[in-house]
Amino acid sequence: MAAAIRVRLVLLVVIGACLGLGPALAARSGRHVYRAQLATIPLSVGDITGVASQLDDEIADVLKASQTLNRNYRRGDDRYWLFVGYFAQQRFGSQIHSPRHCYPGSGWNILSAAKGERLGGPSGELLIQRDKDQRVVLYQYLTRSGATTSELRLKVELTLGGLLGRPLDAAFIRYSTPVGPEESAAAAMERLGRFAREVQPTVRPGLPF
Amino acid sequence: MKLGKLRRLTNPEAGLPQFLLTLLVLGAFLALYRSVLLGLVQQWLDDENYTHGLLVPPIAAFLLYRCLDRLPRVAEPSLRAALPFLLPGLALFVGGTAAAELFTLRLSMLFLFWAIVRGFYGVRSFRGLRFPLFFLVFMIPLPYVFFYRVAFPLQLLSAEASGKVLDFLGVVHVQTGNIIHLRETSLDVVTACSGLRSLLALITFAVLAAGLFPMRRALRALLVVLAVPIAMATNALRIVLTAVLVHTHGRSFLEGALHQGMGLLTFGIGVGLLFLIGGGFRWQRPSV
Repeated sequence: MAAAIRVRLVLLVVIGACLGLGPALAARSGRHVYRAQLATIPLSVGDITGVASQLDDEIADVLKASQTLNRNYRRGDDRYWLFVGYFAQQRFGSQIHSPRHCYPGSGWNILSAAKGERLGGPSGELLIQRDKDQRVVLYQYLTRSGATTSELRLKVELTLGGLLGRPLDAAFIRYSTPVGPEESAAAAMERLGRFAREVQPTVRPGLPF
Repeated sequence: MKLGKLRRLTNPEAGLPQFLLTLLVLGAFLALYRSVLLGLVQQWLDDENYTHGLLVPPIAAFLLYRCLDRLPRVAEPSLRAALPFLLPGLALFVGGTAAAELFTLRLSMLFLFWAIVRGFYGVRSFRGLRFPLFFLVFMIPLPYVFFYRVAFPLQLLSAEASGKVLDFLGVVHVQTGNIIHLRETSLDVVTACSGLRSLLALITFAVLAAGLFPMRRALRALLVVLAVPIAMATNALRIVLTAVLVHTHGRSFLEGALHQGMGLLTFGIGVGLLFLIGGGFRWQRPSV
């Protein structure tokens, strides 16, 4: 009988401690408040001109990012899209989504995925297709430790940050462009890389790291 | 139904303090995982990949009831018995909370629940209840990163397998990647058609059949493994049937109730096959 009561008491204390731990961890990381200045990112870069585009309400609701930037750029006849999502506090329901599951979730099929160095740091490179449309995509995650394309590294950083009370903010940058009718996917990726190299230096100052 | 069997779990002779403490532990557990449980139920209701999750807790409760006869008459409460699940459960809880990682947090819920059962009733009782308790694993959705990494190769595989069957049937088509072009239309083998959805549900049913039918341990494992080719085959059957019907009767078979009905029919065939094989395996009873 004594053992039965002892077990219950210990479990009660342990579960009770866990009940207090969750809010305590959130509060420790919540001390750091940063803001991105995405609106300061210029619309025009050289011969590239851009217009701001409204993010679909449904997508914004799923993303739950603190701030987003959605731009349509043009250079001559070529079209490019830039999306930046800044997450000031990554918590449940408000975390960077990987394009590897966002695209398939919205009907795009990932035809190929690779890693490269086209964004002044590691970049994820995707070739996606929906119906007859093909696009190439370049993306990277930015945290206070630098740039990465690894969802696992992002999780490890988030876990350590949560435990140690470090800032939990992070950003997701994604460039994409359609693959032209007479164009190969590799040529479209080269073209997108050139575009990203020109625009990326104007994007970084808008982020707080 | 003999509700008296439940007395083995509730142990009414134990006295008021123990009963109250039991209620407190369970209450604290529910308070700790309230939002996790609500989120889980919401996902079962909203996410078509995991609707089978709704069935898992009631089935586990039924299996638990069936197992109560095997429990020792007297519980053997022990803190040491709880530790093998309590410690990893706590680590998963802390990590899952810090990283705001839902899958990890949901796993921690199972580990803590198992720790409570082992702590309350002891190792021997836990052993008697292990199948229904383990079965609860299948109520937890896979992390999305993993889900979509597996789904796309399966999409391609399903499209290729279906293309070969269409070749055999003489249906004129061209298959490129996950798209099957027919004479007048194209079939896009999307994520939902990858077979992963039915694979997850069929594995759950295979584990259930393996647990329900008495059979040798190796046959149990074989039955679960067989869920994979059965899911792939029934999914390919679904795609081929859709392609043939679209080819002969038009695009109406790509949408609405007809498309859904086709999915349910082929999934039903898969479940039926599993239980048929499971029923066949039961004659190979374990040697005593």
